[in-house]
Amino acid sequence: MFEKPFFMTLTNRCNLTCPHCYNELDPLKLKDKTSDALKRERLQVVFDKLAQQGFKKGFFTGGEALLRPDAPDILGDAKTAGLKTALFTNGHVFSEDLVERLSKAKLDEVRISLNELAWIRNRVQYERIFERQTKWISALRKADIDVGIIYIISDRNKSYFDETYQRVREMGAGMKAQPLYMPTSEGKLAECSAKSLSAGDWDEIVGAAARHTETCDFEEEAQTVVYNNPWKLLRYTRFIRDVFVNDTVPESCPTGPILVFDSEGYAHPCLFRYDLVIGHVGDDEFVESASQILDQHRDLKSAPCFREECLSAYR
Amino acid sequence: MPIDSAQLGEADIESVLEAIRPALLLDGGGVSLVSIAGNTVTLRMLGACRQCSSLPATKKYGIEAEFEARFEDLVQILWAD
Repeated sequence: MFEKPFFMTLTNRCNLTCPHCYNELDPLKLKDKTSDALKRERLQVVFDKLAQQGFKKGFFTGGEALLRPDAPDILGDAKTAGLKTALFTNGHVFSEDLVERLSKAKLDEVRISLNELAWIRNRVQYERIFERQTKWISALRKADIDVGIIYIISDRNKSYFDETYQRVREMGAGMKAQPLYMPTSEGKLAECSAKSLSAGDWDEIVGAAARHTETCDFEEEAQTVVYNNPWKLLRYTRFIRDVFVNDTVPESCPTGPILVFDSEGYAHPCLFRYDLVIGHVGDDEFVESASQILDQHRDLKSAPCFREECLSAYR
Repeated sequence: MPIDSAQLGEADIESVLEAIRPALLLDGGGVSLVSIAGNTVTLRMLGACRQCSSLPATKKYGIEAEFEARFEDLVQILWAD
């Protein structure tokens, strides 16, 4: 069911330096990594106003959003305003105390990006990194927080896609995939991007998704909240195979327009169109009419601006 | 196994749709068979699928791809509003 969402980058600070990161797609934003422009007190007002306009769910991201000490408090404020809350994280900064604070904030969902797993070179690295990034799943589930895993398909980890899906599901989490997109085509690491996969590689990935769909108990599947339904994974893997193998451009954008606040408080109508600025979090007039202003960008739906990085927004 | 289009019947089409319906139902959607004329099959999306932003992908990579996998290029899919 569609729940009118907004995205908010709580901070652009991060504890990782992933080569594939497009931290807000703007190097200018990387210059200030010591403070965060989005202040909790102002966000409390913003959440109330957005909820009044029919927004139902806030997706909070970074950088690494949990580097902000007040991140659980902000998530709790959004919940108090009547919004559902989902948090994107790299999974590295959880602690018992933090999970307890997120539970008290009544956080609905955690979505963990397996960023490092895109860069593994062997089984030993796979096991070590998988364990490190997924070890908090059971604690989160016990705290009644639903968990989804984002598997970033690269030329290095393509053969682990199938088993990762199975292992993640056994842990009580859902899984979505997205291709490893490199913001720059320069350098050796670019060879690891999903662009390097062959048609045969994609066939194997699509085949794995098809097998999980065939064996799925769809009644039981309803118990998984985030990234459930392997049929969607099958649909998506067929789609990205078509994009990479046949250079297909999608007919429409499934997300645009969508309200996105960057870490400096500027609002944009798309996750990847930071060239378009529609307002600022500090502007009362904008915050009170954000939904209407967003509607003026409906033309983004027809996807004239599709780029490879957009693939992460599809599912 | 691919079948001859001359033998294509409602049961063949429904068998593909039956496999897809539980996945669509998870999100409150569905799909129905409208008509079969020769090798042209007309389908209609139902429920939440009709307003879903992923509708084009559902049609092309979910349903049409499933028919292609089962019947290769013997079936042409049309969509009713």
